[in-house]
Amino acid sequence: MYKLLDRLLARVIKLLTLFSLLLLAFAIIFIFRESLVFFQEVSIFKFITGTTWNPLYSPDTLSIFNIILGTLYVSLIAIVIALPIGIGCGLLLAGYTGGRPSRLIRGIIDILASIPSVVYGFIGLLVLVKFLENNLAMAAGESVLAGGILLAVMVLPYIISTCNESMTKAYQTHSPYSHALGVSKNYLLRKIVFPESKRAILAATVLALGRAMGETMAVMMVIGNAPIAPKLLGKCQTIPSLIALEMGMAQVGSLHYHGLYAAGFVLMMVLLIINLILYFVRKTIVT
Amino acid sequence: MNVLELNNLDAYYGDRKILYGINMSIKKNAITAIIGPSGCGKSTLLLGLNSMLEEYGGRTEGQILFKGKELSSYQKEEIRRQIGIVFQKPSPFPLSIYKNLTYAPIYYGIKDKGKLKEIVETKLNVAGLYEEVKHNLHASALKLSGGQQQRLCIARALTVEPEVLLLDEPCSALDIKNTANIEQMLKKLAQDYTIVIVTHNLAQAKRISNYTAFLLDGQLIEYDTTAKVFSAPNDRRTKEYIEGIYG
Ligand SMILES: Nc1ncnc2c1ncn2[C@@H]1O[C@H](COP(=O)(O)OP(=O)(O)OP(=O)(O)O)[C@@H](O)[C@H]1O
Ligand SMILES: [Mg+2]
Repeated sequence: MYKLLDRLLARVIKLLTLFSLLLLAFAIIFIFRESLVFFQEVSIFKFITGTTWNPLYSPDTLSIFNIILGTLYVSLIAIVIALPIGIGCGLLLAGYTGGRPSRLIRGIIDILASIPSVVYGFIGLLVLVKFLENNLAMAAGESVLAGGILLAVMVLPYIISTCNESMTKAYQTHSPYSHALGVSKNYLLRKIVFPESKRAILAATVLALGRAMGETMAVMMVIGNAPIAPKLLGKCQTIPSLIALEMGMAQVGSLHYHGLYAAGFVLMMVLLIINLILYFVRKTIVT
Repeated sequence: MNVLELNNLDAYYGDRKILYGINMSIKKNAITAIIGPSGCGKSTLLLGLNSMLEEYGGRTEGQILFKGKELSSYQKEEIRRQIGIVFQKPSPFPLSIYKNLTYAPIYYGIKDKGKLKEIVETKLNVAGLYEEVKHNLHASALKLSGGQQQRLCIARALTVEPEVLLLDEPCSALDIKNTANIEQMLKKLAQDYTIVIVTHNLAQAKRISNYTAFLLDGQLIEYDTTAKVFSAPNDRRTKEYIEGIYG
């Protein structure tokens, strides 16, 4: 009886795995097909290395180099800000589990993760952009920096919860033996729990990078959406916000329309490559 | 001289009382064995002696004197440093052999590389592990065998220079040869340290200890020199246990 159930369960799990793989393949194929039309007109090389995006003119002016840079720039800033904070929070939570404050903090983190991104966008626009305008003497606060900071806040909960699980486990496993030597909690966290969590931290980074690069709404509201070479305090454009902004205006079937699909395809490939690289890096980390 | 004195010591996990009014004094530079059937509270007693019990959600009531002073009047760090413990399950940190042994010394402020190296080598030697690992000090400690890991843990407990060493069935995962090694080492250590060892192995208690305590259902039934306990126990229950009636 149990054997039968076991086998059935194994089947179901295999089927579900297959299904999710199919979904991924389907998404890639679908976007690729839509962008194929475009790549017949404009070479893929030109598309990703050219610096002008001007859909009103000839196909020559449909390239997204600046926009790819903008996407990466904003996301990297977000990670650079969020990762250290996230790791610190994760360690702190791991060392102080069970207590009421830690449960409260976890609750808050979950809530932070569930705030809709438009709301983050509003807050970014009202608080962050205003703040930058007033304090950094910028003509317009919409900038790479604003997008990066906002995204950092948005990915922080993901980083914390991804790291926290393995940190908590490492802490609980080793804390009696460390305490038995009279050693402090912080020392244990630094010397053992942190190095033990390298894989989890890497996983968190990938997850956060994926979220950051794919985030549309909130980013769109604070980066100014100008497809120019991105500077820290200047406007920029990211692929998702480009697509969201222009999809409505592009005539269905036009080169512009297919160009947006092509941009989406490039974004997906970049993410896939980042995931693959980190997958192999992760394998080389010995724990 | 008594290093540790327990006066009317009770221990609890939550509401459950595990130890009942234990009175015993532990002699300096001697090996004291704690024997008794499984679940009678031996580990609990040991954990109480360096206030590790609270890390596991338990607590003690009554008095423990360490070198004549109330145990609770010491800083916890100080207690743990002076009363080391080795657990039943080998528990190396997921670090190299070398770093397992420098973990605590570095925390206590020893920075000099040469000094650290010396600590690593002496303690490994004391634990009888040096010859086996001297060529891979930087290999992961998790790659050692169970017996080697246990000896590493003993060495690690010694790196903070404790006065008392508590051991909870340190040999239960080891073969005869490893056990003999550890027994020999403990005898040698007893010249400098006070040792309290929990063991299921009566022959072992008889071989190495100077004093033996017999616990049954959380009560101290008998506590005397090992020779006395094994040859002419006062209590019928001790006699029965030693003769193998409780198993
Ligand atoms: N963390 C814990 N929480 C609650 N109860 C516990 C805990 N650890 C042990 N106990 C209980 O305390 C009692 C004494 O346990 P203890 O570990 O001291 O026994 P022991 O004599 O060391 O046994 P063994 O020889 O099997 O190691 C047991 O009945 C056990 O169920
Ligand atoms: Mg035990």
